[in-house]
Amino acid sequence: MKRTVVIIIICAFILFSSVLAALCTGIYRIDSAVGASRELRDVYMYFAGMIRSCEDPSSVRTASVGGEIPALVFRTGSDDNVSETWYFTYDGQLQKIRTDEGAAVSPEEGTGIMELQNCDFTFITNDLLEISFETQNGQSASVNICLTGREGAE
Amino acid sequence: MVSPKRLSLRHLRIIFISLLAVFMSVSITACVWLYFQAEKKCENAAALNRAVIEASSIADTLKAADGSFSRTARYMHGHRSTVISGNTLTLYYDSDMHPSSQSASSYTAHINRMKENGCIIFEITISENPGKNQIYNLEFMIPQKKGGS
Repeated sequence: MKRTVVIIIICAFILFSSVLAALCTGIYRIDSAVGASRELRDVYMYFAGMIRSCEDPSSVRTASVGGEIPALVFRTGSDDNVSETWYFTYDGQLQKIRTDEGAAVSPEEGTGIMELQNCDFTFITNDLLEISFETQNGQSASVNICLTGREGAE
Repeated sequence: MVSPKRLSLRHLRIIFISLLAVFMSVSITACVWLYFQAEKKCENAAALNRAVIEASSIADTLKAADGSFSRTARYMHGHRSTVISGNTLTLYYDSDMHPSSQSASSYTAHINRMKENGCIIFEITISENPGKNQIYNLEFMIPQKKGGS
């Protein structure tokens, strides 16, 4: 009788622990999914906030770093002192470089902002920018952001 | 004849084991239930995240297209299956909120257009198929320009 009771208790404990371990694995998976979803939102909010707070939409243009890596460029400053801020992805990160207008840009000199696998920028029309990006965990999205008042051909 | 002291000890053991079994059953059931609730909430949160991003993207595209549904459908990346019916534009998405065909869609974006006091009011509703369970709703207006369609 005593042995039976002990065996029952041990079996119940093993069953309970197994169920708990399986649930914990599932919870880890859920947490990863939440993080992945948040990454997409963070990337979109970063670009949208940056573009919408831009005083002169005409100062935004697309370019490429080294002729290969797509980049988004913001031009700031007056006629005497014009600088450019370049945003592009390199080495699994969204990078930022601030440089003088017309200066050469090297991807290794960028400052990492957030993790991002790749990013592409295209002006569909003069004032509609399409940003296609992919996060480190494989989630991808393509969003359009309107630059109201942007002039000049792209 | 069994002594009363030994009999009550045996009963105590049975009661203890029974209580332990009940407690563990309730605990396991509660854990499993909470787990599935958490998973469901996570899926809803992810869908809401994507819906907010997509609705904002649609709104910006409508602004750039001056409210034209045909141009909006053209400017939205990857959308081949769109339905324009009067003052309603419908876009279809798969489970990852990527553009898809109507038959393979898990989510639908309905854009309704109304004109009021020289402005065009748009209502973007993203809902889940089937059952049309609404996930997110966004309403905004733009000034009406002459010649828009």
